[in-house]
Amino acid sequence: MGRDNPAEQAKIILRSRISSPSFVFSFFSNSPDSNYSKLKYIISSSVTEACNNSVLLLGPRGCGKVAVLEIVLEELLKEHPDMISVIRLNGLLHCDNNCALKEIARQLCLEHQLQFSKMASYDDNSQFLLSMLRECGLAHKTIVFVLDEFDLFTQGKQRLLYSLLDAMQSITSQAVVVGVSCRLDADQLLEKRVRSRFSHRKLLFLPPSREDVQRLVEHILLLPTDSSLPNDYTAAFNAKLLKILTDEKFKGIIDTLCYSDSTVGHLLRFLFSAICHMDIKSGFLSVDNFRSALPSIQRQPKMEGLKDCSVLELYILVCMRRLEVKELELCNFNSIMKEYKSIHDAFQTSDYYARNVCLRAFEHLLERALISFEDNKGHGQSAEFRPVKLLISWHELHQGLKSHRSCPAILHKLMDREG
Amino acid sequence: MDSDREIGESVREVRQTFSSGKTREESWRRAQLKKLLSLLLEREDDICKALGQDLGKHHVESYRDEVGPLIKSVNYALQGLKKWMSGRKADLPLAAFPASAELVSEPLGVVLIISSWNFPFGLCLEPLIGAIAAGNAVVIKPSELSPASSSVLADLVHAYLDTTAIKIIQGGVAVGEQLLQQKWDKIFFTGSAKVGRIVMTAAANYLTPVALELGGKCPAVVDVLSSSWDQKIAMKRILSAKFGTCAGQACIAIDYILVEKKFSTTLVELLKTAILSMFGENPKANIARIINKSHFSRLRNLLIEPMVRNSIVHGGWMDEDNLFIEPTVLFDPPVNSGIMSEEIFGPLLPIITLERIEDSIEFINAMPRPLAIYAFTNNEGLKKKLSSRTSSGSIVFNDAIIQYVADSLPFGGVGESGFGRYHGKFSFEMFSHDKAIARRSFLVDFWFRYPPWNHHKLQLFKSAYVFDYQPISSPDRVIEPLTPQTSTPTTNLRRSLRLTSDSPQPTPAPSRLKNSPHSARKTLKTYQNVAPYSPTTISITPASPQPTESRKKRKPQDNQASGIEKRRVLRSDKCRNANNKGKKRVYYKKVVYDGGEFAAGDDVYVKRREDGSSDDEDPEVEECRVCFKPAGKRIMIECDDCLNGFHLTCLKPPLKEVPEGDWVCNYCEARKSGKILKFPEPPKGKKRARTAREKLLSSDLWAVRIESLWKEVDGSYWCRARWYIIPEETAVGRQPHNLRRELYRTNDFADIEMESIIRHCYVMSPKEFSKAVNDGDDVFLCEYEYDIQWHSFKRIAGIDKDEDDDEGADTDDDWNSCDESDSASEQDIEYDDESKINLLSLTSPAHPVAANSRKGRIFGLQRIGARKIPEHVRCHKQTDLEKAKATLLLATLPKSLPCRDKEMDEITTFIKGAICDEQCLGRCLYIHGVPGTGKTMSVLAVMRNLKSEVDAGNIKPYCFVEINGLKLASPENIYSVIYEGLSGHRVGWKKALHFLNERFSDENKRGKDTRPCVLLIDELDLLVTRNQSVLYNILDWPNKPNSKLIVIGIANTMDLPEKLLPRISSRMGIQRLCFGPYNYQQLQEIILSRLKGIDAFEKLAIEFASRKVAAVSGDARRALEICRRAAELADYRAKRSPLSSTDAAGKIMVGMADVESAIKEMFQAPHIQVIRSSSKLSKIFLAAMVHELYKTGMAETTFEKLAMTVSCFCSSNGEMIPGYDALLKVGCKLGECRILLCEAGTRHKLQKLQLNYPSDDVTFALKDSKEDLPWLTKYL
Repeated sequence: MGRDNPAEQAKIILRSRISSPSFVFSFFSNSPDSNYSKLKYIISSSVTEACNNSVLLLGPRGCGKVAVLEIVLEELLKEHPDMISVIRLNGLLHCDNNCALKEIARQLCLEHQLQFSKMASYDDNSQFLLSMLRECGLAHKTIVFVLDEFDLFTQGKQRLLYSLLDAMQSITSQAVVVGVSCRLDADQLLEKRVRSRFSHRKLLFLPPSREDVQRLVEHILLLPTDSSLPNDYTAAFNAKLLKILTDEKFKGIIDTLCYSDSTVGHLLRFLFSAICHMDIKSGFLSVDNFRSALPSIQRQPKMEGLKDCSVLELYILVCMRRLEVKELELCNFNSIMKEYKSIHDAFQTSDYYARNVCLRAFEHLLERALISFEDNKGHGQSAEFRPVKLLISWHELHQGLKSHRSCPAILHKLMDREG
Repeated sequence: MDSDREIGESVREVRQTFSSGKTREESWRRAQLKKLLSLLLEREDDICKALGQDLGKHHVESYRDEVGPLIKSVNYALQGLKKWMSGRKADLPLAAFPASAELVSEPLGVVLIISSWNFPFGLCLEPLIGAIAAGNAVVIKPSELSPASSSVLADLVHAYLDTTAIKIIQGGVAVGEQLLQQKWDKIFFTGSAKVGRIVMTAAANYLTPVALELGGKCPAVVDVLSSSWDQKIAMKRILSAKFGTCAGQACIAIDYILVEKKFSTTLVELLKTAILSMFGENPKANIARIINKSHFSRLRNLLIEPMVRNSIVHGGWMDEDNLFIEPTVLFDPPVNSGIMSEEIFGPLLPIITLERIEDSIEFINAMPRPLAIYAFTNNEGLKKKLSSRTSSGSIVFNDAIIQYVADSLPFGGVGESGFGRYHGKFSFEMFSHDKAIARRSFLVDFWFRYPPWNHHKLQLFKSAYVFDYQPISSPDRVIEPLTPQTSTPTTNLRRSLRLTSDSPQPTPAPSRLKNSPHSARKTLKTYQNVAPYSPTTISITPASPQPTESRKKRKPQDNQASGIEKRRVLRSDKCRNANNKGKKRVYYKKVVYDGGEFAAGDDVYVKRREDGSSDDEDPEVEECRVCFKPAGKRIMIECDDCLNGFHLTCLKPPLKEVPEGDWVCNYCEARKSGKILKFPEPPKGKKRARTAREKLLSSDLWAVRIESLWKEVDGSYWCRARWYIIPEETAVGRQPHNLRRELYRTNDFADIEMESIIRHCYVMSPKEFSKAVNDGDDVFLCEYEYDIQWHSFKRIAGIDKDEDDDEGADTDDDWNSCDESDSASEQDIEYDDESKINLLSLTSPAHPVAANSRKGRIFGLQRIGARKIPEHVRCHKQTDLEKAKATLLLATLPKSLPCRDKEMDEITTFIKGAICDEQCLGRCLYIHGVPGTGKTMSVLAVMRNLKSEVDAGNIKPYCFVEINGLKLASPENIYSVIYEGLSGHRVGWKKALHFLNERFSDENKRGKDTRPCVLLIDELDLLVTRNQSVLYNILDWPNKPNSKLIVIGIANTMDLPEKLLPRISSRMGIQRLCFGPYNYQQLQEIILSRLKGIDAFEKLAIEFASRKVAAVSGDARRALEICRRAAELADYRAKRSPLSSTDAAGKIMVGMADVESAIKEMFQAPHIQVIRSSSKLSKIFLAAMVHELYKTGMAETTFEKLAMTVSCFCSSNGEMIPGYDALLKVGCKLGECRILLCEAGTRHKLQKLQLNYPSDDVTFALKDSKEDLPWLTKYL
């Protein structure tokens, strides 16, 4: 099935690389200033020195907080087999204290091959957690609690966090609590008494700098020399790639990419799509691949929505815009229809549709979220009478009309007049 | 008759060879297999020629079907032989602990192989390989119908293989029958079902096991195949499986085809063209012939039936002279005709059409079960149905015959197609017997196994038979010939270890031991001769204050006669008997026996073996390892490695005085450096005396801890002992970081007679051990408990401490409450305990008890433990920094609590006043203060002090219940918790409330527990419910007369009482105590007191940290954490670059910089950094936000306005103007990080935005981005 084709194979290798966070983020692991080594030091020293710690990993989404943590945990599990149990919780799933505690008990039971009872009460589970912490401490075992979406655990009375962090104040327990959150003020969300028990180690994950991006791209895209690929192909591929990387055009593309979002996750999505564009016949990546991947990564949903609108829908949008300019307090379907009619009367356009057709178009616009109801009140009322608002600005509308393939000239005129 | 005798002779010879044991040898098996291999490789031509003569097979077909697979099988057997031969470990239930079990394969004996004519070599040698591999002697009877092959076979076997053990007997039916008359250990038959019946009948005579490989009508189900490629391949495979395998004369050849009606015509066409292209115009060259005339005419008769004849669509030509039949395809012959009711065994291929292909399942199931089913289909559903709803020896999808060559798949039939399976390892298994071997030791026994019976034993059995197999070992694990012994201690192993210990073996390097408890205890061996045993009196101090009982020891000879020093394991059934007779055991706390005083909790040596006294010299005196004289007056020194003693003067060079630190003798040093330096031989006639310690460490003795002591009914003294074991006896063996004198305490108990106790030894915790000086030779160290069931280690330091504390509180009660002379009740307690222990150790793993429920009783935790003691715990030398980190841990309890003396005094006087009052009026104290000011810790410290006073007898005993409001599931739950704390029972909260009300208000009618009660409620504010009834109840109890309840509430807010209902605040708010935030001097003192004696911090750094924390919160936890983090940072720095940051002394000090970065990490919000590193567009976005804020003065703005500003910025500065959608995304991302506060993105242009941080922060952060956005500053 084309497996023998080196280009196909190379594509598979590259794609699987991009999809595995552990490969991508292993790039950051060698320097001592990286979060990887800091985190590893904190956790491994808690394991070997039998102390408790709590760490927060903060940073925007797509910067590899969880990925780095997973790499660290995986390595530590390898270094200290049988000595670390990892409990993973997610704020989106377990923000309720009761169910979080149950999940902890379940994972602990699973890890140590104990029988687990779903019926156990909150009390039982919290007692079980404490005794497990003690027993594990006596056996030199460390329990690592990973709380993803940490900010969501801070809702309510924060019982779970309090129990966990308070349990870590005793000498026999040996545990690390790792919170992962994209909210920078996650630690401020903690209640005072919980915050006081928290050890306040914070690691900040930032988007990579320009140079790092450049090197990361190299790290990901250069084919390994020790793979099953033919050597001459690898060499040719890599040479070609290095040439692309130094190309000014390519640099421009990366700059545009990073202009709006410079996180690793964004970059990976871009590279993935670029690789999908790779030409199998030639077997090499080209600048064009990257260029064509760019629009697919920077979608403009509203503009695309506009592009697909029917002429009638455009009329309605323009009418709404005109009403907006007139600063009428209330704008609903009926007032739009009035405006529509007045346009028709003034210019005698050929596009005049019956009212129910217009209502259909109106509802369609609502569905596409180009317009929306002003408030959530009055569900009982029929859609014609509820006040609506335009969700796109003049600019967008203007551009949309311009790029629309069959926009009547009259609409352009109307818009231009206003502009 | 002649042949009869001859056969008998041959069989006898073969049997003799087998009984000589020659065939069992691995070398023999291997040699024979190798010979067989060379036979196949060298004589391929002869074999193929014979096959050509008999069957007309083409050379290539012969190689493909017979020689090739055989070569492969022999190679496979040679490869796997060793593995197959070694036994497999089997799991035993825990109830049988300690025991091990395995399965060992042994040959069956003399085996008869009767093979068939269609594959004269393959069907005869394939089982032969298995039989040889399994170590059997073999007699082969090849088929008489393929005479050329048989004779070639006989010649070859004779020439290559060991004819004393492997014989070929040729002959017809008569010979076969005679062979069957003989006694065999297994008969392996390949052939028709008819003959199979005869074989099995004959075998029944001697109860010989048989394996029959018969045939059957193997169907091929052909589904609609749409792609031409699939069709082409399927046809090729069908044809080669029908006509290409000995012209269909094979048991696994396709017999007929089942096809759906709509596809049938296509199939016939396909078959026709495929036959032509595969076999050509002259098929004779490529297709084998029919074996003989009778078979030929059988096949002809099948075709002659009129209806069948009419159904021929291809072929049908027959050449009787050459016994050849053309490939023949028949379309829908009648199902009741001969061709569809008996096995065809020839090149005739009927095609049966069905309405739907799914009907094939019913069709197949209506026929006798075939050896194989083939199906050619891409339909997964059909595959699943076929494999689940039909029965056959094998099923193959989209191919045929290949299952024959796969060694990993067993080959054999089911039902009418035979039984027994072979090929690969399965052949080996067919010809061998898996003998079960179970090994037990005498060590542990379950007393309830034996009569007399009673109900109690039945109960124990019921729980004991719930077998739980340890999941540790996988059942197929192979035992290596020399597995290190894992579970039970055996003397042999220990001996060998002891012997090898003289040869170079890995021992811990001295430097690594530097920090071990070893060095602290410098052993000077100055032994005094202890007075030899003398017949003494036993004086007994019973547990109950009774006059001391004394008694003469039994006469010495008496002692010798009965003194078989065995480790007797007595279980309580014995005393159960005694109990029945109305006699009782008497328990003692202390017994003086044989001149030694033994108490519960003591550690003693116990004799191990009957002949343990072989070197029964005075064991108290250790001799010098060089001159073999006891210490006398000269000073001896102990090597820290081998533990041998040396006179200072005997050493070379002699030492003048005992050196500081560790000392290793030159023998050990030599060993380490790779040389072998032998210890001097003892002078002749003098055996080297070994001390008890040496014997223990070489497991000639045992050490136990006495748990309890009693006198049996018959007057003998017994004790319940808890075993200690040495590292070699654990599952992991001695680890390099084990200390020389280390022992493990087990969870294994036994009852032993006092007779077998030798004398005291001293097993200490590492702390005690390091302090123990000159305590003699019998000092050991024990840090871990070893679980003999789970083979895991657990620290005991912590447990013991807790236990001691508990005992301190509990023993008093026991003294007061228990009737002292009532030894019966005590005995019962003991029984309970014992059976509980037994039950626990036996059944708790077996019973599926949920670990996390059972009303707060946690089960199954004993299986948690380290498999090995981690090396870093022992071998790690703590640096000053690490020590500092350890003491700065919040969890570490400080020795003293500085700066809270005043408050502690106040608490103490409050509690004392409340307790010691004769009246003991209830009181209530409210403690408040910000977190981290030592509120709970102070109260707990006070309680500890008071407890020691209770122990000293200064104050009356009281009970203490500690509750944390945040750990309760609901506020009402507090009643249950209080009640549990007071009574030990768990009930629902309503019931608990009822009981508590009764207890505290009811004038104590029950009079049971009159002790005052101190209730500490942490995080009191969590108990506030809507109607505040919980708080009211709790605070109301102290006011009731005679309640004797003292409530101490702790919370953070100062004005909690004021926020509550007046009736509550009037009860709570009277006595308050405020814990103010620490000021910087206090914080500094706290940190310094913890760091006493550790030189790791710069003084200024500590001051800086404390000043900073005092300014912010005065939270001691914070201050400690900052220092710990700073130490961590310094440590990290040092580990990363070991050279740069050390000062002159080569030490790392925690300096200001570290503290500063720790403070930064803790207090500084990271938003500035995030803003700085964010994307260009986000920066522009934020700048626009700030701009908008200044322009309008309004904190809030909408997305539309902002987007306009951003476009403005961009267009006037030559940046790319972003689309609104991209901008919206940027805004939402910033909102996610909470740099902005924003509404959901669906609001689009109406979305409201607001900065979450002061605009100055943002401006400050943005000002730095000069290189990528230099124009940004002008808008700020």
